[in-house]
Amino acid sequence: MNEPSYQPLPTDLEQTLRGMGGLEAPQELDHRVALSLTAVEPAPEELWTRVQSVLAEEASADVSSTTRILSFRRFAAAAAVMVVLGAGLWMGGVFSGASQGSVSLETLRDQYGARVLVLRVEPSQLSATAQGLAGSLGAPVSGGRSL
Amino acid sequence: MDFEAAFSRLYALYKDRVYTICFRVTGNQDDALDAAQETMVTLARRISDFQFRSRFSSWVYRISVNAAIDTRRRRLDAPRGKVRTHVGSGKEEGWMADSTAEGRDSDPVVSAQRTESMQAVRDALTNINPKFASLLVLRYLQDLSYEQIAETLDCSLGTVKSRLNRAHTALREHLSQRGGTSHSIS
Repeated sequence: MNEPSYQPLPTDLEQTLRGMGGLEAPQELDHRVALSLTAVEPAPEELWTRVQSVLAEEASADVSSTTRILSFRRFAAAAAVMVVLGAGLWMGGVFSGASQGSVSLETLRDQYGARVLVLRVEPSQLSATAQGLAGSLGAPVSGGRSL
Repeated sequence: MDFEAAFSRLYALYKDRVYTICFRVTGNQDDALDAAQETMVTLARRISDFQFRSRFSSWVYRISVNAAIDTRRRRLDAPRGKVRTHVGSGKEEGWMADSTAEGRDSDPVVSAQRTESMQAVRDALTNINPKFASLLVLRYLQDLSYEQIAETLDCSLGTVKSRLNRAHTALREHLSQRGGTSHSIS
């Protein structure tokens, strides 16, 4: 494709354009450029010494607060375990009570006794505390039948 | 001579020329200041990039033109609310030459016509393709030869003439569309 022939601008338009040159930059440009080119000041060694001590203090404060948080977490975990165990024991009591209605305790004891090592003892062989504990777990502690 | 003193001389030599290019291509003071600042900071930081293969002024003009075109494009891409408008009355925006030219006419009618013509051309420069506007600014406002424009834009002499012709056409078309100007645009 050929370029159209060169057409110069009309003289008056060219003169108008030429008259639009020679602007003076406002003083704001001086300030902006000076600010942009302001050199970065090197920090003195003392700054690092100061910052280091502040950082060390902050680090120790962080550790103590972490310890507090951890101790609280331990307490919360222990409480949660106790709640779960308590609930488990209570549920076990409920279900054992329910099962007692349909299946006899002796049948269950014989059934599970065949699977695990069971040491049968007489109530008289146990201390009063052990008898209390065994009784609370459902074992007959009175009469002739051994545990 | 240390860097600061050398740059101060360089800055004093070019700041008005750089600002003129930036102002005429972007069309408003805020964008012109942004572009001129970018140009001067680039000059200071990348002075070692100058390879002495062209005139130093060509290198300065190239950086100015690129900064002005980029700034104008960013403004056009900006959300509408952020578009800067051309407001102001003259000297505080660096329009000394316009004011002086307008003040030369003792006849108020001629003076009014001249003001209207300048306003029309100013609007045209900020509305035509920024590359064409830059070319017109380099040729007529900075009074560069075709050779130096070619050096500045890193293109051939033929390309400069061809683009300048298209810039003339774009300017004339814009003025004729706008109408009401006293220029002989045919």
